[in-house]
This record gives sequence, structure tokens and C-alpha cells, in this order.
Amino acid sequence: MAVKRQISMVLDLNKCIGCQTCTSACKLMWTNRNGREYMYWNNVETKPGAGYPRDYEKMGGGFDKDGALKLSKQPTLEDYGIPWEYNYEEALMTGTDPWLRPNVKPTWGANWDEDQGDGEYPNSYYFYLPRLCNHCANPACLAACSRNAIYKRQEDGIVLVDQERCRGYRYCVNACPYKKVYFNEEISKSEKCIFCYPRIEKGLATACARQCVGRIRWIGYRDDEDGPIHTLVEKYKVALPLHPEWGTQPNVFYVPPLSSSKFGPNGEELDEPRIPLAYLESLFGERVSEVLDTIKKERKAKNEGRESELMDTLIGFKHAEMFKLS
Amino acid sequence: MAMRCSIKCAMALCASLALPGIASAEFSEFVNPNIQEIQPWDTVKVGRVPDSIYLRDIDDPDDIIWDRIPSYRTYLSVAPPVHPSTKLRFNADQGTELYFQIARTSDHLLVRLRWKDTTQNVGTTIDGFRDAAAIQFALDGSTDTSYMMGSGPEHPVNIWYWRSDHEFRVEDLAAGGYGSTTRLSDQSIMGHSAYIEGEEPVDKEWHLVMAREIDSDGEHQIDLNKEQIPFGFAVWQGDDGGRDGNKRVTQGWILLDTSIEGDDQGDQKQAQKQDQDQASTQSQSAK
Repeated sequence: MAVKRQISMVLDLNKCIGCQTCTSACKLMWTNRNGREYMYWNNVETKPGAGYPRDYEKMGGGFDKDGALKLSKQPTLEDYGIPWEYNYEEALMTGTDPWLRPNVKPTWGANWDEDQGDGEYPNSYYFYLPRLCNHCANPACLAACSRNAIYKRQEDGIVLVDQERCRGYRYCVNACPYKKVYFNEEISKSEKCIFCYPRIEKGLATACARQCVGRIRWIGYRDDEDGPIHTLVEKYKVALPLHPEWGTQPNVFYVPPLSSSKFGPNGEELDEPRIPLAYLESLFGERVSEVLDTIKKERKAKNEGRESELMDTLIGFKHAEMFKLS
Repeated sequence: MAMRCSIKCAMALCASLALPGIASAEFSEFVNPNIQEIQPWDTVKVGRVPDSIYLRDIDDPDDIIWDRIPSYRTYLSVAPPVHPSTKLRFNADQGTELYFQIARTSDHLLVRLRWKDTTQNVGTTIDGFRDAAAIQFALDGSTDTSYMMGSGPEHPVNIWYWRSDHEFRVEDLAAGGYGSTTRLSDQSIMGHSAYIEGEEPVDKEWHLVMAREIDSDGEHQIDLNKEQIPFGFAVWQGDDGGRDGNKRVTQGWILLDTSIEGDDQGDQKQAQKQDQDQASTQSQSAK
């Protein structure tokens, strides 16, 4: 879908420490009230892992090779995790309840499988994957909406749900393979990440990016050749979309994670990364190996005191250079 | 007596022979000679509720008055898919029978619907869909208007949409073609529903009455004083994920003849006689 400009985000998974500050920033700003309590427009999940909602990668949605919409499982509230509150007042203030406990029995939730990962010691591994709406160039949610209630803004390509037009059919929830559109039961309408457009319109970065303590996020326009997105996606080609095979053409990109070497049976270091290449390729496509080689080469250059524009960009010295919104 | 026994025996036989589920229940209704089958493009005449009859509520779905109003049966088949999302969920085998009655008092039009539904879905949740039903009217009174929700803004339809997730909630909508459903600023439809449990799953059914004052302003409110009004029905089965175009509908228009015999010709005697007849029947049945 052609738009005049497309805003975009790159996230460097080598720098994410899984602190959930982005998640909290987003939740406090947009989703801690009014039927959105169960929603995480931004979440950070541990990979390998079930993700949020649980097993969304196996649900379906997106497009097939011919460009036709694919059906998906409709996620349940249990798949997302039933939100709970604690009895702070009774347990900590009035002392009428000896236990601090949640008001529902939690059985699943976003980040339930945090840090579990995969593999056997000493070769166990995991990494963090922050996720938000990809503001796709070919949004499945938009294609699935029979009311044209979902649109892509011409000025920045942000994908929004027109709350006046939405009648809560939930085709969009089903169609988005990333499960980044959510149904609000209180208002019977669907809602999603709005890429903090009120902030973007003022030249400010999204809350998740601005609050990121690991400085893993860059924001800019795809066509800005002086901006960080162009440097990372087009010039050095080190940022890749998540699950490109789903056909939605995301505008959120990830720098895949390098990992330390695997250990052999006698404790020797093997020439093989701890995170299996095949697993990373299953997430980010066939270019992962090439990207990791580029990062290793540029890291080496920086280590040896040589210039590396790529490393200088990925370090993220100044917010003003990480967020180029004009 | 012998006749009645044979009908009962026949019904029992039918029930035992028929396939389980919705089909057998509808088959038992099929033998009811008082329910006339209506096809698209047929005409039905509005029933009359005389002013002398007291209605506790104008929209009581089980008021005894409905036993005195002609009842019709029509088949709703699955709506043809007009969008990839509805096409993905299209199942041609999901048709259903709808029983309907239409009557007017001196100031209200009442529409009563009944349909079999073995699952009561009254929630609109993250993964749960509600039961719903609707009647649509061609606003210009012409059958040239598409029965698939109207033909653009020049030839729209007025839709009364009942949703099971809110008691008494009937939305007053207009549309000019699929995908254009719009909630009207003036919400003037009353409604009341009852889910009848019955002893067997096949006895479970929705009863619904929707009502509106005959006189109503608004560009997109159907003019109920028109002599002939094309209308059609839709039913959404929540258990099958029904919403939007995933519905069972009248594949065409049914025509409503709104004239009451005697009213137009100024022949009040006939109307009075009808009033008296119905009042007498009502009082007998009350005894």
C-alpha cells in the first residue's frame, strides 16, 4: 500500500536486556484502563518461547503465497493472560488479609515463560524480542476489515483503527499474524498500537523508544537517506522484519542477536553460535547469516580502533540521532 | 379426536425419524397448517392489534396476542460472501427457518421473530460472538433497491438490529450497500427478547419482538405509512462466529402490505367487527 512517507522502527536485539521499561511506558500511557487491561500494544517476550498471546506464531493469519488472506485461530483471553490485581489495601494497609495475592488464579500471562528459552546446559540460550504493531506496508488487518475501518495514514504510514467505523467484527484480530490488534470488550471495538502518533506529530519518539534504557530503538522515515533507518535497513542491511513469510511487509525491523559459542562435550568452545542459526532464520528469514557476518566484521573494526559508521549508529550515542522525525 | 390423535402420532413419528438437532424441531413445525410458508417476493399482510386489547408491554415477546396474529415461516440461507473475510468463513450449509409475525396497533408496528438456536450466545467477548437478528426495509419502498443492504446512498435501507448482548438493545441503522452500515443519531426502536429453553435441545429458541412508532421522522427511518414496504430478515448465529456478512438472510424482498381492511375505504364497520372478533377470542382464551 503506497503512502507518501513511511515511519519505521529498528530494534537491536543484541542490546535488549528484557527490562520491560518499554512495556510499562506503553501500558501506562495507553492500556492500563477502560477495557484495555489485558492488552500489551508493546510486549517483550523471551525467545524461544510461546510469546504473547500464547503460541501466536502457530495461530495463522497473514497472507498465503498468492496474496490471499489466511484464517487464524481467534485468540482467547486465556491465551493473552487474564489480567489480575492484588489486594494491596487489605494485605498492606488495613491488615485484614494476611496474604498479598492476586484476585484471580493466574495460569498464564504475557511473559509467563520469561527466561525459559531452550537448549541444555551449558548450551541453553534465549534472547528478548520486543514486539509492537509493525505498521505493515501490506497490513492483513486492513485487508480483513470489511468496513474499511482500518487505514494507513498517508503522511507516515501509521496503521489506525477508525473507532467511529469499527463495529467489532474482529476479522482484524484474526488476520494479523502478529496478533497486534486487540478486541476491547468494554466498547466492542478493536484497538491497537498507534505508534504514539500524538507524540510523532510533535516530533517526539514513541514512548517505548524514548523510555528504552538499553537504547535499542531507532525511529525515522524509510525514505530519509540521512536517517538511522536508512543506515540500518538499506545501507548496511542489518535490520530484518519478523516473519517476512507472513506477507504483510512489516516496517518494524530487528537486528538479529549474535550469541557466544557453543561448548563441546569437553568444555571446549565450538565454532557454532549458542543460538541456532536455523532458529533465527525461522524468525527473520534467510539473510540472518549475512547480517551476523556484517555485524561481526564491523565490531572487529571498531575493536581495532578503525571507523565503523554501523557500530557508531548501533551504539546510539545521542537520542537526537536515534530518532529522526523530521 | 381421531384426527387429532393421528396428527400427534404423525408428529411423534416424524420426531423419531428425523435427524437430531435443529432439523427435527423445524420439521414438527412444518406440519403446522396455521403457519404459512413465505418465499422472497411474496406479500404478507400486516396483522392488526385492536386498540381495545390491552398490551402489558408493547414489545413483550410472549404476549398472548401473538397467538392471534398470523404466523409465517421463511427460509434464511447463508448470505453470499462479498468480502474476503466473509468468504473465508462461508459455509453454505448453515441455512435456518425463521418464523415471523408482523402486526400494528394504531400507533406502533410490531415485528415478532422466532428461530431455533440450540446455543444461547449473549456475550461479545474476545473470542465469543453474540446471537443477533435484524429486519431491513427498503427506504424508497422499491424492490429495485438491492436486498443486499441497499444500493448506495441514493437507495438505502433501514435496519433494526437486535443484539443479544444487551437487554432491550435494538440498534436503528441505515446502510447503502454492504460495508456501509451506520448507526443513526435517532434510536427509536424498542425490543425485547426471550430465550426459550424447553426440555430438549431442539426446543431451544429465541423469541424477539421489535417495535417502532408508526409515525417517525428521519431521512433513514422507514415510513411505515407506505402501503407496501419491501423487507427482509437476517439472523446471526453466535456459536458459528456469526457477525457482519457471516449471516443467514432472506435472499430477496418480502413485501409488506400495510393496509388494514376497512381503514382506507372509511368502512369502519369491518374494522370494528375485526376488533370485536379478536377481543372476543382473547376474552375466551383468558377464561
